[in-house]
Amino acid sequence: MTSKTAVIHDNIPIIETANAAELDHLLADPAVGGAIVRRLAPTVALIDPAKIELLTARLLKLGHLPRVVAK
Amino acid sequence: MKSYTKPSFHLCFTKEHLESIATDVLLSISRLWGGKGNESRASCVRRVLNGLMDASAMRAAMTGHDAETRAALAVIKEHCGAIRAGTLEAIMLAYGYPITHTDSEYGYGHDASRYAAKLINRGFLLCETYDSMYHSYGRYSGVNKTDSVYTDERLLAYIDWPVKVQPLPLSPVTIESATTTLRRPQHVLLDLMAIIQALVDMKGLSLKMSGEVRLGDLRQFRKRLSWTEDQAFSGRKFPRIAEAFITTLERCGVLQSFGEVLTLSLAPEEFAQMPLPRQVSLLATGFIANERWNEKDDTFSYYMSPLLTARTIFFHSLRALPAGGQFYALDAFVEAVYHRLEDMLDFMSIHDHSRPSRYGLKEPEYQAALREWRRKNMPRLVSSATPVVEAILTGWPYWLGLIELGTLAEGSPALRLTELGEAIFADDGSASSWNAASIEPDSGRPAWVVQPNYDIVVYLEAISPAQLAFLEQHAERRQMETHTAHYRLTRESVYRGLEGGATFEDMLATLRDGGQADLPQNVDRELREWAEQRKRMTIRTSARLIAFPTPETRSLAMEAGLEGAPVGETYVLVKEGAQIKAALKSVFGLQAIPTIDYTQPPAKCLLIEEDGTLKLEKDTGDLLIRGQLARCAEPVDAAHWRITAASLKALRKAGGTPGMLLAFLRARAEHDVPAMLEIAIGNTLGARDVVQAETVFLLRVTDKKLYTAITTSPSLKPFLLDVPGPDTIAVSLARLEEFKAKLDWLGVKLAPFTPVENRPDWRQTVRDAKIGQRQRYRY
Repeated sequence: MTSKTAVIHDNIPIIETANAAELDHLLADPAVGGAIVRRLAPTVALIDPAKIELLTARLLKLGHLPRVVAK
Repeated sequence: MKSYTKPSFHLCFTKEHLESIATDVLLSISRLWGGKGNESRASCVRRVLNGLMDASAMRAAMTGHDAETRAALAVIKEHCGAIRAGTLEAIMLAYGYPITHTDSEYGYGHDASRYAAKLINRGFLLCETYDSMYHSYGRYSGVNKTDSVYTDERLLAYIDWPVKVQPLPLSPVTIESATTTLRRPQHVLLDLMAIIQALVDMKGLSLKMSGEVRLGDLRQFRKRLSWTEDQAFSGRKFPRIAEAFITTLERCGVLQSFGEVLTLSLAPEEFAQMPLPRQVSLLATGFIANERWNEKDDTFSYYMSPLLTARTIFFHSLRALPAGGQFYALDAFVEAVYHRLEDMLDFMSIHDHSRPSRYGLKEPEYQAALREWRRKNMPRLVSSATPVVEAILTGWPYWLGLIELGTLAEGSPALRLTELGEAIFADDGSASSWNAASIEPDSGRPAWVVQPNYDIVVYLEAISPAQLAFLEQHAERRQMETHTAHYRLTRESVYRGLEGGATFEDMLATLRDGGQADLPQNVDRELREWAEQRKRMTIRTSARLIAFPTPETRSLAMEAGLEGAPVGETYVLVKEGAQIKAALKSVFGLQAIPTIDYTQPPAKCLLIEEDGTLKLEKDTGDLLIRGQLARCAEPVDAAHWRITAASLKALRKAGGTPGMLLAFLRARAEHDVPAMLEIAIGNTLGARDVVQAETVFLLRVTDKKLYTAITTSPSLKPFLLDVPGPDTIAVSLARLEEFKAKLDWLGVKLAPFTPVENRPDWRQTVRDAKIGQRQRYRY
């Protein structure tokens, strides 16, 4: 669907990192990579909605402390 | 025990129920509401229902009753509005109310509850058992002791504790203090907070179809609390403790099921803010009526009903222990209760074959024989019941810190109420004062000391419930002793606390305030580092993104006041609560702006082939589909992907499971996922199907006589590998020529194999054979 207008994407799960290198590093991990479906920007990526909890658990296991914001 | 908070009952007298009651009873009930006893049934029903709607009428109806009636209604209130008639009678007897027992004078109907019938006739109760409604409550067929009676919750608003309880005639005993064990209030509070926190951390417990908690969640719950299946506290075993807590918390309304998940119905802070007596009373209302757990080590249902009855009666009987903080022998306590219960021993399923029969005896003779039997057998009954009562009391009442247990010189058990127990059971206002006196922190002393190795030594006498709740949320409990508890600050525990909504500065301030000192420098530094690390990565589970067709349109929208952060070249992450309409309208005019909500089921847009080809039939515009396809399949062209062994292997490496992939495909497929593909996915990502294979010589024999001859022949048996169908025989290739020679000797001609559509059905063949066998037996 090519759109000449804007599209609002509501309730979409994303991950933000402090810098691009951090996201690069995360994507190198197969389990994290499997939960992230698309990189929108150097520091922002979309998460598969079915894998938010898996991703959070994996990040904690890797030593990160992600802040989880519900809204 | 007036202080329970969350009655899980919504019982009320309904028009339908009142209309089904016998006329004489209905007339009697309406007297409570000013009825004269000569009105029509309809006006009686109307009078009762109108009375229940009128606060002043209810106040008038519920005031001025005798102590016995108030006690009975208070007991029913404690049981969330409903109770078995016999249990109510037994509790009233245990409290020392000499409620009359005239059942036996008729020689039959000894299961009827005259007492409950009396309360029904007075308008306070109704019987839940529908059949009883057709009978007059004044008659013996009206209410059985096993029937459940209930009241209208609006009436109970006017009933409260305390009630008068006649102390049991018991003599105190002397106990060596070294032999006594009790759970201190601080330990009870600490454990309760840990249980609530574990439930918060688990985000609820998944339920099976039967309504029971899934075994995996049960195991995890136990693990989080470091419990074994039958956890012991000071040597006192609490069987199947996890099940006990879950079912009790559900019974008292702290846990509620939403679909397939059991979750907390109140915030942990809300629970922490309740005074301990209130928390304990809340659990008590749950466990006395918990029919899904018993004190035995098994779930054998035979024990459930008698144990539940005994648990209820002996828990209430604790209220009849004499005041004064003395110990009493457990067997003396059981005997004193038994003497009060008299006829109700039968209701408690304490049957005995030696009990005199009514047959051939007049009532006075029967009563005399019964008294004599009791005199002779009471010691035996008491000694057999004492271990059961001990198991009941060492479970919940001991865990909740209501009783202290001890051992007499000869080794038999003794008990007394703790200060907390006395305060709760007395309930004359001392419960609230007890809380203030016994567990409020001594503000002059620090509640804990934070050590440089991240350990926190907690002084249980000096800590408040709110501080305990804070520690449970932000630190890991390691060890508990009589006067102290040890916690440790870890990355995970601090992270969990901050994720629970606390701000970092508040957390530091609470840690400092509790210790009445600054934190050790290294601890302060490390905590700040963890908090900083948490700021470096954010997962937004429900973000709002706007995708613009070009970078220019995005710039225009932001210039027009769109609040948010630009992402990539064409996206904006909208600030929470920001207004977007005006900015978008300024750029796109009156064009409709489509919205895709990712909490809704995704659009079905995939055509899935048996060979794993996935065709994106239509581009729905959602941002996920292409990325999701790329995670599980290899791209072929702009609209096609293919699931291959390599793509599935990569998916498995990334933690993908067959269930996850199939759920994605089913959600997106326009038609069913082909079975072959499902099997391929299941075998590659999960456990592989094993199929037996062998090269054989296959015979199809349509002639039944020949088929039977070959398959039952001893000389041909060594050649046969299997009989896969009622007309098919598999022959091993090892001695094929020899087998063919045998067939040649039989005169059988071999023809080429041709598949057929209609094969005989094995199951039908077996059924035919069984019918034939039965007919042979018959003739």
